[in-house]
Amino acid sequence: MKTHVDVLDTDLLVVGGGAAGCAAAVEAREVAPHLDVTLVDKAHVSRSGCLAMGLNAINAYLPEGVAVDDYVASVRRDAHGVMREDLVRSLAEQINGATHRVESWGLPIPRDGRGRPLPKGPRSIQIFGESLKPILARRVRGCGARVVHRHALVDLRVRDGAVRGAYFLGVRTGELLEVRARAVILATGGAAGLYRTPNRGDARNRMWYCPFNTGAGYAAALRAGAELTTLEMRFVPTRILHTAAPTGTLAQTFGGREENLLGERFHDRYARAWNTDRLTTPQRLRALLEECKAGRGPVVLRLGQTGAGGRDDVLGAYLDMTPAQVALWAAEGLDAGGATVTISTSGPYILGGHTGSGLWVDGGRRATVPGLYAAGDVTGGAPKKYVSGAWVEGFIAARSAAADIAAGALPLPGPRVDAQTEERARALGQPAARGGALDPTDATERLQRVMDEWAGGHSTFYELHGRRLAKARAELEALEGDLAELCGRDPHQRLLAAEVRDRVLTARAVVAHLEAREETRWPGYQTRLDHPEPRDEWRCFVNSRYTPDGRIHTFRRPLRPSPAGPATGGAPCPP
Amino acid sequence: MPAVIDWKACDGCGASPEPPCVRVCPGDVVVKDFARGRSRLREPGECWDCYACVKVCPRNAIQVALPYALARRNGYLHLVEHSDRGVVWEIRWPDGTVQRVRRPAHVETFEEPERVAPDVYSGDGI
Ligand SMILES: Cc1cc2nc3c(=O)[nH]c(=O)nc-3n(C[C@H](O)[C@H](O)[C@H](O)COP(=O)(O)OP(=O)(O)OC[C@H]3O[C@@H](n4cnc5c(N)ncnc54)[C@H](O)[C@@H]3O)c2cc1C
Ligand code: SF4
Ligand code: SF4
Repeated sequence: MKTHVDVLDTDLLVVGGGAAGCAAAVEAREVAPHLDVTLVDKAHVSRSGCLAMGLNAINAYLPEGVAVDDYVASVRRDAHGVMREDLVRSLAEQINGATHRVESWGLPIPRDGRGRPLPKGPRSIQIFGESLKPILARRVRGCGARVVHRHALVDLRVRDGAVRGAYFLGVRTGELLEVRARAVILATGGAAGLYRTPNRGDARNRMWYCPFNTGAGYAAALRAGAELTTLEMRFVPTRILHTAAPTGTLAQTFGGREENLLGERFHDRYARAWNTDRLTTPQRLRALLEECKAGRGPVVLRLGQTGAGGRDDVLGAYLDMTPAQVALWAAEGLDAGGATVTISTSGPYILGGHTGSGLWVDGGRRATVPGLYAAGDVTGGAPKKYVSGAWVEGFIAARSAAADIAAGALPLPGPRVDAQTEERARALGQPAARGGALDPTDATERLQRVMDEWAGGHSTFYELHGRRLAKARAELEALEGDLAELCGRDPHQRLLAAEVRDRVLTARAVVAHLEAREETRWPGYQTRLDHPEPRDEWRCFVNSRYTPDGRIHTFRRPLRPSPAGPATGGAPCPP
Repeated sequence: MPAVIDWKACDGCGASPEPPCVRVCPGDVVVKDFARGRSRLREPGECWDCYACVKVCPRNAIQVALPYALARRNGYLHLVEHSDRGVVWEIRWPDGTVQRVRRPAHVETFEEPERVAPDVYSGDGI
């Protein structure tokens, strides 16, 4: 089967039109109106990515009276010390501005009598966000950027050691699109579907994170030689049983408190045992898992007395964010106050928006390969950025890219449809031509099973052991070898094939990071049975790069990188 | 769990090559069956239950459906309206009472060409 190649030239290419990508496209057009900006998404920007269902809160917001330093300290504490102070500080300084900028684009933010946004938790506010994604899409359409829908990133386009565009699979056409660009902002979100979820059959994609964010950005960055960080800080959230809907709204807005099967509030018991006055998010997860292992699960959230309008407020908040949960409540019933909601855990997911997994960047969100920038969940080092932090990073990356283009640092890309492009087109066409033996859905199931059983999934309470990880590594390498046989009968199957390729490479990198960190830094997220305690020499980052011979090379970086920005190299991880 | 397209109500949006339900699905899960003039989910297991398709269908032909294993035959959640006036959902509780909830909403019709214009360059096929 022949694969046709479309070519498009632009100055600045934004890959992924979610929270971060939309912000980047708008900012680039505002700060540099002469720039030709192209945004490419695998889906349609009016309902793509994590924001497809809507959101009910801005989870990172500095309320009146909270200082930037306090905010940074709270993120550091919850990350058990491993975060990039410079990145988190820049977010703390700009999240409110970004939120109100999006408010000016049409996002409704309810306010109290004195005009202050209504709090959700201590550092978050409520929004009416069902239509957040259509609102961002409207702004993008108005900004003058070219929007290309239905094209999925398959690889970055590297010429002379710099990123000069990207390759996409046409989701409708099944063909290759080559975009030549001076600079590329990666904003494809994180990775879901690396691990098996407890839901099966028709419900298998009912998970918390967007299952269509498949780690494409991580995999493409690795293949382009860029450096990644903190993939071992996996995100395992407590979520409502069956639907994996977020619990934060119940816990923060509606006073929900965790109780075990016996009706005990168990957090204090663990806080005393672990010698702390307040559990961090990973510690709360660990406490919940320990209760379940001890036979005192499942755990429920008992809601506070929410008053007359209480139940309607709960329903509204979930309809705006995960409507499937309301369908489940419609079946089970939900009392106005004092109700209990059974919770469980979901994931692990890999993302830089809640935990710190992603591309290693400098303050301008420049990755370690010239011409490449990153924003949002695909970017690492700055946990708890959430949607407002994704906007801030989109704005920052767009300003850096525009400045670098203006400074002439990013020259015109190389010739169109050269030998490398032809090679990509052939690779895309080949499996179909061979008839292919491996169904991408089967390959995905195999991946999820291997990760679940050997790399700390749901069925093993997320616990890790060096020997299990070695088995995971071997199984993933074998699976990657089989991927040459993937079939792509039609464009949709070619998309699934590209997704599983990206997931497998991302999973290999995750396993390499998990093997490297020989301590338990984040209980629950990263419990090493063979190294159960935190160790001072691991108060550092674990970073990785993909080597030309196809290995994942891991190494350490200090918590405070030199102000000159990320250099390559770094101290090796001990063998 | 997924969204279910009611083939009695769906008319395939007439001659539309890409009906709204197909256009908005974030995972390329909905596909139009041109032979039958209806849309369907390629594979229910790929659906995220985001209900973006439910919200854009002009004939309200797509329903929220929980699997029997989770909700027995209960779990009725129905979209009544999605427009710039708001999004209105109807919930039926186990005791039979029906409740409507309205929230603010914005509708975006984004009519951009779905394919990159071949005017830029068309390779001859490789
Ligand atoms: C269910 C849920 C509820 C949430 N609730 C809240 C909340 O209430 N408050 C809050 O602050 N945060 C919330 N978050 C977090 C927030 O949604 C994310 O932090 C934010 O969306 C991240 O932005 P992003 O641009 O990195 O990713 P996304 O918004 O997911 O955007 C990624 C984009 O990349 C595209 N893409 C992916 N792969 C490819 C590819 N191969 N080629 C081309 N395009 C691709 C996707 O289609 C998508 O458009 C929630 C997240 C989830 C999943
Ligand atoms: S939008 Fe509705 S009526 Fe149109 S094709 Fe889809 S399901 Fe059918
Ligand atoms: S509910 Fe969402 S994921 Fe499922 S088919 Fe509809 S638009 Fe696609």
